[in-house]
Amino acid sequence: MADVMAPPRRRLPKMGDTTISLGLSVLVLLALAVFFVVPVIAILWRSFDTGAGYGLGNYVAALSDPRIWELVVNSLAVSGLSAFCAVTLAYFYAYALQRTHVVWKSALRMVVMLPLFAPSLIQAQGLIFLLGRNGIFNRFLGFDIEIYGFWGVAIANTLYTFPYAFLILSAALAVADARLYEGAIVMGARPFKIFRTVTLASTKFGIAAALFVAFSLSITDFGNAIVIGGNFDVLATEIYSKVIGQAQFHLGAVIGVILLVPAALSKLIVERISKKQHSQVTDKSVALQIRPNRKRDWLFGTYAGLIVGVFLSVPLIVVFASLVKLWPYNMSFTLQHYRFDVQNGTAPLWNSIGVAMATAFFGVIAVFAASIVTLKFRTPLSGPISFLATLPASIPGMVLGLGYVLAFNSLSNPLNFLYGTFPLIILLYIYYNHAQGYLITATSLKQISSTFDEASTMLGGSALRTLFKVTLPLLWPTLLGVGVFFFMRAMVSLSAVIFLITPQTQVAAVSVLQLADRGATNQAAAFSVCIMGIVILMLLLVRTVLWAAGARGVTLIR
Amino acid sequence: MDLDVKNTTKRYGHVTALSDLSLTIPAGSLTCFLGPSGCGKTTLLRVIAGLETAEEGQILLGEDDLSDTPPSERNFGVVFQSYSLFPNLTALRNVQYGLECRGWSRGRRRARAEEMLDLVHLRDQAGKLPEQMSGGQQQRIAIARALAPEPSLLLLDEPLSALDAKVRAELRSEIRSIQQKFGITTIMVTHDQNEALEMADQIVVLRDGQIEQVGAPRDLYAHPQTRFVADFIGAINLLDISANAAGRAQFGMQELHIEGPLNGATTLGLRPEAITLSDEPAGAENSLACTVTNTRFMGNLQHVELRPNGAPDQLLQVEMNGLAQTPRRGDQLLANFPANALLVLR
Repeated sequence: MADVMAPPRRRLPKMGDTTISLGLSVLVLLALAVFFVVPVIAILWRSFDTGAGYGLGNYVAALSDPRIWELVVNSLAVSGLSAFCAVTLAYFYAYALQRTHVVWKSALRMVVMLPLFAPSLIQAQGLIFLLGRNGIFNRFLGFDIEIYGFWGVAIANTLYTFPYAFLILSAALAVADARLYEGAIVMGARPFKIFRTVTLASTKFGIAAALFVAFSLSITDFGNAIVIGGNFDVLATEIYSKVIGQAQFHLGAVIGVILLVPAALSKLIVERISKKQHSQVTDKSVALQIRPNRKRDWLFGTYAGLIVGVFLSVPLIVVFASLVKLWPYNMSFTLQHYRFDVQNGTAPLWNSIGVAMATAFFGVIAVFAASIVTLKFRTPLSGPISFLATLPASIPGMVLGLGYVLAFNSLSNPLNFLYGTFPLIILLYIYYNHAQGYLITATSLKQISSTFDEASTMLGGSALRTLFKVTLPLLWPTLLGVGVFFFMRAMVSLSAVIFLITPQTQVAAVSVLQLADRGATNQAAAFSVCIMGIVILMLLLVRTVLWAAGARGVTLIR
Repeated sequence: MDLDVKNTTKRYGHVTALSDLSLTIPAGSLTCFLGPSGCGKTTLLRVIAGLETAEEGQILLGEDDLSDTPPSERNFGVVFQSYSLFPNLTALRNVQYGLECRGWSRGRRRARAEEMLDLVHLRDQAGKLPEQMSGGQQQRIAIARALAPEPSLLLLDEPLSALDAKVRAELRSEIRSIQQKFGITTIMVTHDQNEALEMADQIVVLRDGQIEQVGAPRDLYAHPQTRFVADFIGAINLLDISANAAGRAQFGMQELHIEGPLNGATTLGLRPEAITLSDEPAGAENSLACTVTNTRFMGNLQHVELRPNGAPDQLLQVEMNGLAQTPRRGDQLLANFPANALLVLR
């Protein structure tokens, strides 16, 4: 051996994985910045723009108007009440499904999901057919109910937010530690005391989360309030009338920011709560066996039957109304409303299908890319991306939509050419629903053991090969589920796109609103039925594909 | 080619997982990293693989510095504790994976993969998915997969600890014979001393991110240098001693004869099988008068627990083969052992 050792040859990395990781991260971050951060900043910016410089002028003007305080009270009251009702009703419904032996559980579960398959305002439509001036109760059963106004909005929002509350509460009630119940029984506690001290106590986080979710959905919803609200105005409808009616963008922006506060706050609280929820059940917990109890089952069965009755009556009355000549004067059967010879004909429906398909396809790519760069291709950008990716959940659809108008309508924006086109609507749908899509994908991705990545790396696989040969084949059922989620949301969301619609870019959910607004209630009903039909068809189709491929345990309805 | 780890330090936040660690793995040998959990053995393996990056130090393979080589280009084969076969690929496709990454032609790939499956006696399972195979079969496939691309180093991360006892025993000798057949330099991480003693050419005992002792299995057993190694490998009696006025080892009220100097040590090791029992003095270099406090019958072996009369607070364990003697509790006996059976430990 030579006296002087030759310095060791350094085997340096080839360019490749790091470049790809960094490139993709920058791309994801850039898209989030342009299509999420910039619109939100645009709305904030506009709210401070008084026309004569920047300041709090708009806020002072808006808040000194007593009307705005009336709207704030209205919004809080109606959302608070409907959140309380939805959570209370959903709690016992979920209890019936998780903790008793009622029959036909899967059917019971499906029926209360129906509101998710149609634009929120189908609740208002159905309620008007049932309880409105020309509704069944007033016209044919001799009642004298005035549904327009506070109570109409409260009931419609209760129905609209019920499934969301039910999903959360059902998950909370699904897990239970039998040892607690056995302990309580051994100590001689009576059923009601057990319910109060054990069941309620162990689901309190779920209840709180459900309350905040229902509240924030109600306060940001605009479809129901505008259709059934009558003279009862809320913040969400006020933005609409300020922007669309009076073109006062700065006041719209101010109200948008005001609306942002409760929505963002409740999202933050929900996140806090859901972190606590996890530690409730440990690996030592014993699963609860439901004891037979006929009296209890009958009681809850009757309750569930009543709820199902309500949840079936709304869509059924809408279907029925879409099939009669002229509600309520000429109730003879006809298919004429499905000819869609008004307005743009069937174009909005086809537009919606196209938009929803594109949203599903590109939305899945966007959230998958975001999950990959935050979990697998880690770079210094991973932290900021994962923060931004979950942020859209705190922004109400209307606010983000208005932000898009303010950001992309401006000629100084190089992407101004997107304004008034379908691609911008698709982008809005993608980034409006980005947080949930990202969370579903990231959770699934985390469950794929990282040793698969390591095994692939050690065998010489590049990051991209690992992605396409290992990760994607394992993740595709989840991604298909996320695609369905995006599709569903793009079919039914109304408030997000209401400001982006032009005569050339009409979508179905907005058509329902415009038809209902014009008094063409039967055609509006037909449109709603079509939307619901398409969503259900898509769910069945994907469910079949998943079943045929043998993929189990993919949740499609969220 | 030898693998050299030089002055490697790895920290996780404030925890130092590896501390200025240097080591040579001789070409063609099987080296075991042995130690309790948290000693840094898996971290060291992952640093060598390139799956973790050390803050300081170098990894050299022969003349090549691999410190900045990404793991996918190191050409090392790894077998994980959890098998980690790709669940969406058949056994054959799993074995071919590394060959695809290296751009082998279809025909060569298939031939090599089948050769590897033959090696682990699982040619008949080629078309099965991982979930259709037993744990032992999956781990065999994982070994075949790691070896297929002709790696320059084979890394085994606790490959047997997820398997049941019978399969584990089979695979121990199988891995060893495959390793010797190919003469491939191999590192295996384990916490099981028997596995290390049976399979390794060289054992590296790790403790708190540092090397405690390196040596051949027999060496480590016969000449442990520290209390930790003596205690970790095999059973041993640890005798607390002090140096008396003459500089000799004082055990309670009795002086012990050792080979070599004491060098300030306060612990002596004594293997249970090195002690013989007698009623009368037998002329051994060391002889302790003891009381039998307990006996355990284990078939071909007997374990006897003794309390030395001169050091009643330190019990001695004795292991006896056969049933020629059957001491009973309360018996007075002499425990005899030669001077060279006493191991001076740090």
